[in-house]
Amino acid sequence: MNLKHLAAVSIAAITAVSFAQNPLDQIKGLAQESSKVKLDFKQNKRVLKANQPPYCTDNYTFVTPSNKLTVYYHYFMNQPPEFTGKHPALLHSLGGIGLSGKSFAFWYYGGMIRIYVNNIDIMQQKIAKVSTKCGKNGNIEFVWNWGKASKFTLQLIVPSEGNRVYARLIPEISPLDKKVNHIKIRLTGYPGGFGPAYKQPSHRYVKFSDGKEEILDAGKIMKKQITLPGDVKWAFLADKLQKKGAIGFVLEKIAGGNHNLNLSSYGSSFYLNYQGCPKAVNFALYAFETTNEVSFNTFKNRASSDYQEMLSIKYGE
Amino acid sequence: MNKSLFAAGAAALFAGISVQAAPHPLGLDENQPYGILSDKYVTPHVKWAKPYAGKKLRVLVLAPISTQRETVELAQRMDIEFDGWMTQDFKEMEKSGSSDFCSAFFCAPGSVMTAALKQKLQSRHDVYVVGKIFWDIIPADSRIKILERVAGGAGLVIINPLKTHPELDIIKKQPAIPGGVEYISSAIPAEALAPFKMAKNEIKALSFGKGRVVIMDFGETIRSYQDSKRFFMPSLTPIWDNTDKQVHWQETDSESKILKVPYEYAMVQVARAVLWSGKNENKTPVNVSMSGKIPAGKVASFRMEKPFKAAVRDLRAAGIKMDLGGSNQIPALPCGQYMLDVWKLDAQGKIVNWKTVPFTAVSDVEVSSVKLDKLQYESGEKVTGTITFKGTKPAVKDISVVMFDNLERQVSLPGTVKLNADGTVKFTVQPMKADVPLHKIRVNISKNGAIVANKDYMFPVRTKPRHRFVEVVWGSWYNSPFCHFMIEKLKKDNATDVLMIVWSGASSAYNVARGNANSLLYGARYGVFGKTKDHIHKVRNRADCGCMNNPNVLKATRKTMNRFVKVHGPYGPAGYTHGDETFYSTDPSSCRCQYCLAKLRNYLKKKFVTIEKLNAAYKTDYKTFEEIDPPVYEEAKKSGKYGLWLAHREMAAVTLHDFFRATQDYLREAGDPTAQAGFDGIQGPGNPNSGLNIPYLSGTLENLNVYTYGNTSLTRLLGDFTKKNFMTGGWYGSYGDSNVIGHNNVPAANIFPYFMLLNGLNSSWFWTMGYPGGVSGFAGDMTSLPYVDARTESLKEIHTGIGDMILDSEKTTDGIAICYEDHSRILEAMFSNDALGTKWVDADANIRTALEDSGYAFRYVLAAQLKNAVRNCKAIILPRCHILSDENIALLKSFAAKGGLLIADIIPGEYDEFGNKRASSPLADLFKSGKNAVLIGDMLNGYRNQRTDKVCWKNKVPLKGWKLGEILKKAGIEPRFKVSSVDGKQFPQPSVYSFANGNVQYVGLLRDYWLIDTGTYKLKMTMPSSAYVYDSRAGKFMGKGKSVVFSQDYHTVLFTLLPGKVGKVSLNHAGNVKAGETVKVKVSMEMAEGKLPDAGAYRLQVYAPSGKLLTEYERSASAKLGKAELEFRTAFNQKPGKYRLIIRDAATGVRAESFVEVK
Repeated sequence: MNLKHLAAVSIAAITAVSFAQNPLDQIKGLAQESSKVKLDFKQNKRVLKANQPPYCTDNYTFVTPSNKLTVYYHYFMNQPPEFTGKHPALLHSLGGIGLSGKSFAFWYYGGMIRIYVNNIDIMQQKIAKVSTKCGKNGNIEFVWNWGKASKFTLQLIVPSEGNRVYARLIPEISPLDKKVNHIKIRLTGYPGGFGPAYKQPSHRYVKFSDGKEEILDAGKIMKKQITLPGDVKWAFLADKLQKKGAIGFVLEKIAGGNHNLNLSSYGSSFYLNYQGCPKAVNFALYAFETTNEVSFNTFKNRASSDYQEMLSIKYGE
Repeated sequence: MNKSLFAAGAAALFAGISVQAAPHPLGLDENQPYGILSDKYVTPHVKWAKPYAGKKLRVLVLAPISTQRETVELAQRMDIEFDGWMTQDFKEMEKSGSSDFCSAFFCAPGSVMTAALKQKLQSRHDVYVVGKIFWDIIPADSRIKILERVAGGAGLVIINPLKTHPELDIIKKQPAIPGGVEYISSAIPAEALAPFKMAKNEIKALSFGKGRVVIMDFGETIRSYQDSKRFFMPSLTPIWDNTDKQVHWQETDSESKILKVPYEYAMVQVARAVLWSGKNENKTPVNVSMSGKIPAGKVASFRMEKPFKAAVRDLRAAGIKMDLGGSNQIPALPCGQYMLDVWKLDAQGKIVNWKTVPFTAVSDVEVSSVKLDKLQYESGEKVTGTITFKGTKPAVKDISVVMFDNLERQVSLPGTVKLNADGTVKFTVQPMKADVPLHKIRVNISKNGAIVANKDYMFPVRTKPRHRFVEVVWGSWYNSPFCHFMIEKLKKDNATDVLMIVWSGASSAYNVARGNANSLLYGARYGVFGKTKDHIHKVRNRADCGCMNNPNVLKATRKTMNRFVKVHGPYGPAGYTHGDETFYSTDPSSCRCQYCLAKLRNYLKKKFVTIEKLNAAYKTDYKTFEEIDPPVYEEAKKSGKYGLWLAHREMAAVTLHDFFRATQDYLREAGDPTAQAGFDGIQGPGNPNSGLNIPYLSGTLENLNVYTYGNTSLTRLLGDFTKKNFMTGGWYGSYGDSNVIGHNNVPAANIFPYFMLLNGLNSSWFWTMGYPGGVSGFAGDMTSLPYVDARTESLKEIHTGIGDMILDSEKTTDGIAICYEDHSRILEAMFSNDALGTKWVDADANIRTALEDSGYAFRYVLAAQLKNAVRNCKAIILPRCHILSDENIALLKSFAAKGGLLIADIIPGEYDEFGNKRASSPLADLFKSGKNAVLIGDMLNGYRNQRTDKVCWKNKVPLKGWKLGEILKKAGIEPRFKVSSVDGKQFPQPSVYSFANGNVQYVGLLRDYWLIDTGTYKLKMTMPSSAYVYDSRAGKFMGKGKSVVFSQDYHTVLFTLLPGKVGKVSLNHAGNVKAGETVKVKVSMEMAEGKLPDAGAYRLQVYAPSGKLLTEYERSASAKLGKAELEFRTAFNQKPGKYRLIIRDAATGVRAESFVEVK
């Protein structure tokens, strides 16, 4: 046995001893892998109507220790080889991106988000790329090309708690392309559920980070347009006639932002308007399983720290 | 109504549609069992390490929700501060989203679970106990946190992990700590616990950093978990014996060993593992010195250094032990195996350490068996049998045979004993009437005044539920600690009378009786022909599940009934249901087999006598009855000749009826003379071939139960046509928060028992207690969830005698009848595309609901009995009454001509009773004239559905149902008991139910749950004549007059209208009795004003000298003119002393009390 070999054996022995002495580190090493968010992908194609292209749903299910949160992408396969007829629409009104997984279903499984650039729905064009990454968090990225050399990337990051989704829209505009004058993001949720679709009454309300509240009349079908206060950081939406099913929304404050909420007795939509082209837009989506009061307190208590995390979290971790 | 009820109502008003019970600790629905863990409910236990001389450890138990009772069981036995983190199962932390509306409600969300664990781990615990769950369902960050704590010095007890895991493998490889295993296992006398089904009991005591780890392996695998009754598998102790003696009732003496004694020692092992891992063990030796064998019948002793305390446990008797205190003298014991538990104490009397020493008391004689002469005994019947002995045969004078019941009450004097030639002994005992189902024959052999051998032989005596209105609870009641805890709590605290045994046998029946409850058997499901996707379809492979007219099927059914009686008959089941959600067939043309067609032909032959008459009726040209070949649905629909198709459907009801009636006959023939059989969960009368002609079935089937489905027509029909002594009810319970059967929330559960009672039914059926913490009324720790408490509140009130007084009475109406015409129900299928008669069902529900919402009391009448109805009614309502006979048409015309009001939604009578279409209805002109005949058309279409759509009534004001009331009022027909708002506000009109019994009237005001309003309203009820009004729920006099002002929230209001004001009630009985004698109580009433009531009911309660309520003596009885006689028989071993008797008048709450001395 030469010295080099002896040294190697000694190191191995020392390592073995230290491993034996420190089972916790060994276990931590093993646990690291199992604590990662995992992804389960499924694709479902079906024909909704004759003479229509196949309708495809891509299900990206992030399995966290607490929750299974699915990000959907629904679209018509309206191009050859799947379809040779004429069907210009890629998405119908409930198509595109949606969420599910317990109360996240109240952000709905389709049509949750629409992105308009210079008043054009960029999600109506074929997606350029969808990529996913799993690690400490679950990550999914949708990329739409724009113009000749520009692109818009929507990143959704699911932390391992599975109780929120961080979203980031990143415009990358080439000088070769038209100037971006305006970006609008529409986000639609159904706080308290879908009862009104079945003629059940609702009594929906919203609370903002500045303490303001708006409430609709009980049981009436109505809408109310609310201009979001300038420094609003979060909004909490729920239904007084439902014990649970609240949703929450955290929004990055960006100069030049001008936002509205269409609070309705059924679906409520946020309209985030940006003049010009911000470098990125960050927001976070929440859905709660607990009673509204408890959910509100939970949300309120964590919104500030989550706001910071939302800005700093890196895609792909 | 008491203050707390008002408070609940006010809270409900504030909260909108939800009623706020105590908020859930984790912010979930208040009826969600997740996260609820308390030691408020106490079960029998031995305080092995409580109070403990060491530190009070903080222990966190990680285990499935359904098993968390074991955390409490552990805490009852040792001095710990406990907490629990609950998973949904052993395999999964969270149950993935279930489409089942019931389990979806009861499964907690994973985000709440992980947050709960994180929050718990913010505190430091001394010991973490992992109860058999898969290691990897604990979130990785929390696993690491726990292990960091252990490495830092905390303890970890891992109990039989059901799946291996690499992290666990690392833990298992850690060095053993000497002495650990010995400490943990030394207190357990495993060698003396042969029946203890611990196949393996391997313990590892290891180090992990600065901490200690115990791994206890019982050899249980995921397979054994799957094979066991899954949710009844404990998490801290070995798998229970979940065998089920399916075949026959058997002697179950060995059960006691399994039930109590090994469980205590299994818990000792866990307790010592916790103490050791928490570095809180005290190894001071417990040096007990005693002989392993002592002579039976003689005082023995042991040596032990003082101070100590000790107890002796008899392995043969369930839970019986003798506390010796600090004495080292063991009283004379009969022969058998015993445990001596000895605790070493410190100077303050706290436990330092303990040990159990097995020993045997030996005698030259043993009682080897007791055999009864019969399989089943009626209550109070003489019991005879034979005793055999081992060893020296005893003299007759030394043998004593006495009967006890399961409450340890001596229910007989010593029986007669006669020696047989073969050395066995024949005995006879004469017991008193039974109060509980389970009894025992106790044989004692004495020598020189001491008992040297004995045996308890457990057996059932047929008993019926004590209350006339009973609560039936669905379950399986396997051999599991959790089942036993549930049974005991249901019976003791939760006003439950009858436990429904679902598809299981002798063990479950025994377990139910052991909890002093009565049973009801659901052993087979018949019917449901043509339904292929049924959830219990597989049983139909059985020979007795075929065509109900097939003689071979009936023969097999008789055999099955015989088997049921052999297993369950000895307990005297409260009933038998042979099918949940049963009906005849989904196919609109079944059954066309030779037997069914023969039955149809015979039926028609009896009805028409000659073929010519039949041909004339159906416009056919058969030459003989044998030629009759009824058309199938499609043929009849195409031809428009419905008659024989209708007759064939009519036969479905006859067949269904005859079959279920036959099951009852077979049960009685097999030996259960009081068997009442039928089926439950009646639903879907829109199906033309369901056979669900409720008035017809309920007239003779003695056990029937309906689903309300937000549509109370079935309940009303059953109540209007059943007979008083039949068992009838409906399902409610743990159905989640979205199903139309009913929601598991406080108002729905509180309303339901009264809803049954006021409809004339005598039971409410709760689905399901399942397993604690799951789809169940109990949380994992056995806490009753708020909705169960709400239903218990109503049941306890009904049991005070309210049930008796309503069930003794006759329903009264405002002169309104709904005509039930079953052929019209069936014929509706001909006018639909899917062969379903839902339009008829909807029309009926709309009309009935509109009457309820307009405040009218009414009843159903059969079309065949219209002759009587027209004499007694002011209005007859005909929902989609396609078919009317010529005779009925004449009756209705005459009724209208005499001023009676007819209301119909279509022109009634377009078809004759044979299904032939008339050129036009003979009632058409009458309805067109509008004179005493109102055609409402589609005025009420969709009404009931709107009402069951979780839409608060306020959103539909004015209710279109009130329009029906306006029509009646216009015709001068007003409710006798009219409810109005005191402050002029609109209010949810309660359904009005009225009853009379002589000069006493009862008025029930029930707010339909589907009005979705729990708010409190101040109301006034006016009455047709002056009366003395009592609020019977609150036991409060409301005043005399023609009106009463009251408040109502979701609670049902029950007024009793008396002809006088009750001054006082008195009870008269002997001042003292000897133990074993009957106490006869005569109750009388004196009026302060007015006349005595013709009817009423009293409840008797008896309190022991200790102040404990003796529920076995609680009973109610009907009264006449204020007089009633009640009695109870004291036990022969009744403790001497003064017993307090309380009599309460159910209608008024007036009570009296006195004492009887037992000497």
